Amino acid sequence: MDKQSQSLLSTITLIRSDMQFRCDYEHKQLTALRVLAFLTNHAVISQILYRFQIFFHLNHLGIFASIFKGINSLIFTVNIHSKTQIGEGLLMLHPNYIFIGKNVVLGKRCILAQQNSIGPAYVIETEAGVSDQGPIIGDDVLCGVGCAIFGNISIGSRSKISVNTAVDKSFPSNAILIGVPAKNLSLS
Amino acid sequence: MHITFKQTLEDFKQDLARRLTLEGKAINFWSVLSIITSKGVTSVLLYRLKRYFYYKNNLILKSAVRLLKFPEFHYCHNELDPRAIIAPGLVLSDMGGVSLGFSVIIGKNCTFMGKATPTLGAMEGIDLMNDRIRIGDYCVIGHNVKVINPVTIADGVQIKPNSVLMTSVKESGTIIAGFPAKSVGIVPMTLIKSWSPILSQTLAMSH
Repeated sequence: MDKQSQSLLSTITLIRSDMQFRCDYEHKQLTALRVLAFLTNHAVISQILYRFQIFFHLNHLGIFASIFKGINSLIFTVNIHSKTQIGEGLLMLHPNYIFIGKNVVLGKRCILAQQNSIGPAYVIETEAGVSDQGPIIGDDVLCGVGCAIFGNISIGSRSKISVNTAVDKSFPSNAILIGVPAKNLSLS
Repeated sequence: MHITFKQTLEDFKQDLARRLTLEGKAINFWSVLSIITSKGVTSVLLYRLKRYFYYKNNLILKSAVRLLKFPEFHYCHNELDPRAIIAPGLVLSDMGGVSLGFSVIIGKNCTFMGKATPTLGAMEGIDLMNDRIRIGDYCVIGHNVKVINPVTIADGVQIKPNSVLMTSVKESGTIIAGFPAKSVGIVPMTLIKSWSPILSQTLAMSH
């Protein structure tokens, strides 16, 4: 993942797209009053802190990125590594024990529930050791409560990951994943 | 039981040294300073201090345990019981959510990821006062792993995320996963002793 600088305007556009997706999710209109109401929502604050963390990281202001990450980690227990790519329209339902590790790619309009952990594998299974590539997750994916996605894998778009699922293999799009380890229940 | 302050410091030094080697940093004053405020290291330090104060025959020092619970829970988001017996070399990830009950005995150089909870659960047939969870040396307990029965885990066992361990693991170097957790494979001990998450940076969350 190469470092490209990100302008302040595009950061604000990302935050606006997050709010727009939250409005679509709640079947509401995005108005100025709604934005004010969102600014008291701790999930929205957590997302805004993350977006600014990435803004400072990409603009070579690492110390500010660490400060924003630290606030997120201390207040909301949301730990997101700076070397992640999260597309526009992130929706965090409850900012509680969310861990997103290094080199994770999330697509557009992803929904993260509470207690998700996503990151590169750390359990040694072969002599070759572990790779530092995290999961690559497509667009419109729903991550259920307490799901764990670890390893150098990819999950297709429009997948739904159920509660307390441990995913350690790649799955195609439109998958419905349930169980520890995950099985695909999709008919197609 | 009596624990000296020197012993406490010695244990914490080993914890720090293992954490720094796992992150691939040199052991010197500046690297310690950069890591001491991280949630995992602070939590281990508070646990060692709590354990030292808990076994003092002094009411005022004993009440310090209650005071130290505040930073432990509200800063580190972990709960480690001072009665739990943990050998030196303990490393916690910076995610928080680890709760260790009083009935846990842990060997040296173990690693706990976020939300790992080896605690005796309220299950039928468990003697809460006498049963113990025994975890061997060089174990890696993954994210969201629950250990609720009084089980014995051998040396070098790696538990994958979201598993629920119900039975004992006898063979060292086993990888276990699933609900209920079963053996998935075996790795030689030499490989586990050289385990380090520097590549994946799962522990450090460093910038």
